[in-house]
Amino acid sequence: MDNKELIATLKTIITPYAQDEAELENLNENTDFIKDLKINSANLVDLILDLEEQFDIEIDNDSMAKMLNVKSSLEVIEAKLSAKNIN
Amino acid sequence: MIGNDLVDLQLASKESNWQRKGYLQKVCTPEEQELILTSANPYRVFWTLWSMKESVYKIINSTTGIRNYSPVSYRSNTSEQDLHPVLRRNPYPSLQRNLYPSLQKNLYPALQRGFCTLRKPISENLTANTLSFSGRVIYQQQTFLTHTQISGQRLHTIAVSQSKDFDSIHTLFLNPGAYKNEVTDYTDANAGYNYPDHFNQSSHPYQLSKNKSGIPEITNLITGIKHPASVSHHGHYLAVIYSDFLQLTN
Repeated sequence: MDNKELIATLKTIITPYAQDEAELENLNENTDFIKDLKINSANLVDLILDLEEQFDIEIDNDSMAKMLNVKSSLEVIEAKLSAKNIN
Repeated sequence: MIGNDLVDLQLASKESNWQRKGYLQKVCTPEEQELILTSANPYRVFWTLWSMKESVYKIINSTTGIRNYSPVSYRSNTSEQDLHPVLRRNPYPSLQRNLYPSLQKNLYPALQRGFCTLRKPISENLTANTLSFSGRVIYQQQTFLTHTQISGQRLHTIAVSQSKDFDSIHTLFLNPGAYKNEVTDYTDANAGYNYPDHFNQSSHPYQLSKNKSGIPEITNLITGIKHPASVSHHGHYLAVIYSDFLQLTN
């Protein structure tokens, strides 16, 4: 899956939780989940769980702590995916 | 330093399903999970622990500027004995659902026995009694003290670094919904709500603003001294807390 596809998948998963539609439309690597999309913090947990299900990965707490924007989330997902392919 | 967090329990029940598989494990330590799952009211205990963690996170964020999202690293040091009796362990877990309505009814006798404070409703909308209790949260070897109050659908927690800090804290509850005719979509309806103006109109000489990093602060217009503040908004409720004793250093 390339970066574009990853962002598209991420956007689909984020959509139900995002409270700012204009920012969601303009979703890019720098989009911040809380400051831009106004996702409430309880729904961030849902977002993490959705990503785990979608990509069949496990996101540990240290990784989750970093996942406050699109860029860092993509990094975590990519790292987890490549670790999965090696095993 | 101070932090606060507010949960509109009615909105939370619509927005979030903490009973979803895997959810509790992401947010709570094993001890906290047990406290929640064996409680007579898991829903209230979950949101209490959640707001304790969030309010301490706000202290960490405002003092260090660090943003990280790791609720499970904020360990509440709450034992069953710290909880209000109506939230303590359910002795008959298999009867959880059936038992719950009767526990609700028993709220008043518990209050009368002096287990917790009973206060007058703060605003007209709130007709229910108030439960309040204190707790502790440990984050990276630092201990913070919390005070939580559940009043109707409004759950509010204040966190401080030292217990004497509670004495200088003032809390103002604002009602963003009252400024709109129809509050169906909370977010949109509140988008234009200017809470600093509303706060400043009623809190002279204290003026609320945000610093460069977006952290709220209070300026005493007479002395020029800056004091820490914390703002939390969820659903129908918005709370501003500030200390008129603690000072911010530049």
